[in-house]
Amino acid sequence: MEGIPASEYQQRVSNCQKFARRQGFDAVLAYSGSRYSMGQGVESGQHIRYFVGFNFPPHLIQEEDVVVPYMLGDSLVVIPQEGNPSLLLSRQDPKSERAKNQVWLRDVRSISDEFSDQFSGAINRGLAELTKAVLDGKRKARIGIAGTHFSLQLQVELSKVLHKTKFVECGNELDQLRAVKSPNELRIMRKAADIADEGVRAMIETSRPGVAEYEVHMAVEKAMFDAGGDNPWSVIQSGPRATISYMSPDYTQRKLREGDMIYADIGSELMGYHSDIQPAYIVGKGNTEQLSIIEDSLNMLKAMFEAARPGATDTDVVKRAYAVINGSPFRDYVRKWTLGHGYGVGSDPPDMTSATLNLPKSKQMKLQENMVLCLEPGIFVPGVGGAAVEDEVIITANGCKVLTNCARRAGELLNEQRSA
Amino acid sequence: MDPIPISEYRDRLRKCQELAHRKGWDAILAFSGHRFSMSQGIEDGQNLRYLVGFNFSPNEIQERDVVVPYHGSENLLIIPHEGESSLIISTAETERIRKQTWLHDVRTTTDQFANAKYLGMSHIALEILNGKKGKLGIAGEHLPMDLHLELARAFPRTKLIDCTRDLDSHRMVKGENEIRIMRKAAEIADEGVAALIEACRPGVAEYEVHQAAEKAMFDAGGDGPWSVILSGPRSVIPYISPDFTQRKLRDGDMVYADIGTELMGYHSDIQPAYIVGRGSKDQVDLVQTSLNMMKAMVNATHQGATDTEVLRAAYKILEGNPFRDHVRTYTFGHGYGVGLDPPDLTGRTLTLPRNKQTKLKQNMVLCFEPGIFVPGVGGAAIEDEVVVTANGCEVISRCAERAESLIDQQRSLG
Repeated sequence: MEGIPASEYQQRVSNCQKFARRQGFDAVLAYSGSRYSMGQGVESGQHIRYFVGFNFPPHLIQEEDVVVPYMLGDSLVVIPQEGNPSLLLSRQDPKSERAKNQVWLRDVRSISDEFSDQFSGAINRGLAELTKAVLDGKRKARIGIAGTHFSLQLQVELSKVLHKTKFVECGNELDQLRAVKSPNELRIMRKAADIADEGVRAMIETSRPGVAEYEVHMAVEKAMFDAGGDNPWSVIQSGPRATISYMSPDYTQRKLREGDMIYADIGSELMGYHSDIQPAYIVGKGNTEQLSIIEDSLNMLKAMFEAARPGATDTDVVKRAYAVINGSPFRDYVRKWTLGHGYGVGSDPPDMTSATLNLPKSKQMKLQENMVLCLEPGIFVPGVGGAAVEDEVIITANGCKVLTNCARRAGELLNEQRSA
Repeated sequence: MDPIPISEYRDRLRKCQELAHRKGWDAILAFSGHRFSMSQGIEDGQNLRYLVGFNFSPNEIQERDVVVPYHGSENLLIIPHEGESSLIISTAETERIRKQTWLHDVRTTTDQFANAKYLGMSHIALEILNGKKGKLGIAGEHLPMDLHLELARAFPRTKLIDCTRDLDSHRMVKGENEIRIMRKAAEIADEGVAALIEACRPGVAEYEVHQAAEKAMFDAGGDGPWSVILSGPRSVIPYISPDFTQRKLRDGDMVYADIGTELMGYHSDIQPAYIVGRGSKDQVDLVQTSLNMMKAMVNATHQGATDTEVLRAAYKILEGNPFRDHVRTYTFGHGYGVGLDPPDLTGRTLTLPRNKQTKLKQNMVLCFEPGIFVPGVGGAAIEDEVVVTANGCEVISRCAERAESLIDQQRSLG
């Protein structure tokens, strides 16, 4: 699969420079690392992946010792208002040396040896000193800083070495630059979505009484690897575990039983981009309540499909979903904190809005053509079961195009169950 | 498998209260959540797991709808210097969590503070501590900056004193129940290694090896097993690649693997060295050097030794060794215990130079992991878990032993 050409990364840097000019920033510092937090979002190198690259196809990852620096530790992309960007790495080792030869960007530097103790916080000092050196001779009265997990310690060290500079947080604004996807990005994301769909197909095939959750997971993982995915993952929660969203191990030895609902979350990485979908499923024959849970989730998702178009806000989309289940006995069991999110480079869901789709929101976001959203209404009822139906959509000129098949499959499941 | 009794959790909380007494704090606020960072340590609910529990057995996890509040929610445990502790959670799963814990007071930020959990935590903490606001200890490897700010606002005249390391140090020496669970977790990881060695044949994909290891650990009773399988050119890059890929193993590949499982809140973590088919002399020497370092570390470990002495013993092996400059310098090992947090021993991994040394004590559990990674040749680390004893240490996994057999077998091929 073709990668994203260097010219596109250059274009992104130049868009960021335009943004810096609008905001009156002399430079923008974009932090990347590899960090995962259920409470505070995911940091998986989105800035470095977006501006610099390292988005390798699976065959390079398999056969070359390519290095992905967002997993090497903390790093900064320094984008001055004019001129060339720099990448600052927090390690000085053969891996970082290799990283330097793997990107289009000319200026890649590592912190000096004296700051290299990874566990002492000295790297923050090292990154601050490097930033100062990179911006030497340039104006630096006002600098934008961005990164979901840009640390307090790094801010403190930057303020020490650049004590006349005013640092202004611009993470949300910088995230917005990523919200609208290019044709190259859409091409990769469509493929990643197809791969996840193969995973769902394998899940449905293997989910039979007596099969363990982890065996379903393995079948899903294998199907996505075979379909060309890189780093596929899945969550398979059955029976009583299906009533818990995200507060449980991803899969266990539990053997599926007739009448179990399955809550599953499935996706794959591909060249730095991700997919993320959720099928609803019942092993064998489900009861009326279980079918109603799926039907409500599906109706919410369909309403969201209808509402998602350029000019609509994320809140409009969420409100439409709630409107269709007014009066449903399961309304109070909706997973309120997420009805969806943007998606793109890195595994960072806030790619669109820096926040998930939920209510109430203090700040709304207008949808635009070529944004990619994952819509994931879900209902979890203790004693009964849980289901979410999640599909990925691209916002088009007049509405949205659904990339994956979870809604379609949920509709088929309901028909099958009702005719049985 | 028997859980850790509630009386043991009560003892652990009492120890925190003694600390608060000694320091003159009105309470300790212990944060826990779920956060993973390659460069800054791991927050995986250790304060909550250690002080309150939620360390369910695989059977409970499978058949009851137990929720694990450190996964998917951030939490603040309020430990007043006397009396009962309270837990503030930030999920709507209040009902189930209340049913599943022995703590009497569980409150949530979701009712009134749905979109402002840190504000909520601070306000509820103020309500719980009603009037007591002289000095407070606060702890948490990744206590968010925003929570810190909200606490400072809610307790304007209160001194907030970081006591993360003090609380971490309580976890270093393990109890009998902990060692029992950790031994079992180490045995399960060993089953994973056995499966890895079985599966590593030319033509088999890395992810297939991963699946074999994972299956073996599930079958052995593990909960949440994981593995990293990096082969051939990928074996020279520890920790920065996808954990496993479609790459098919070839004759002469080195395999760098990292394997472990969770069991009732505790973890295991071991690394076998392996060569597919016939290795080169350099590859075998590389494994031998890692093994020699490991043996030196095991020999240097006993109650009263420092972590730095253990490291120096490993470095001594490297004097004049051709692989000296390819050693993974940033970790030779770490403590281990509840949660995924490797700094369970010292708040830090074993590296040089260190400005502060830690004296080893009986019943500490350490993971030793000397490793060498040479571009063009391959990479290997050997990691075993040890329990520190009065006169030495007991090795509770078998990677060094297996590396020894690997070397013998390779050398017998000529």
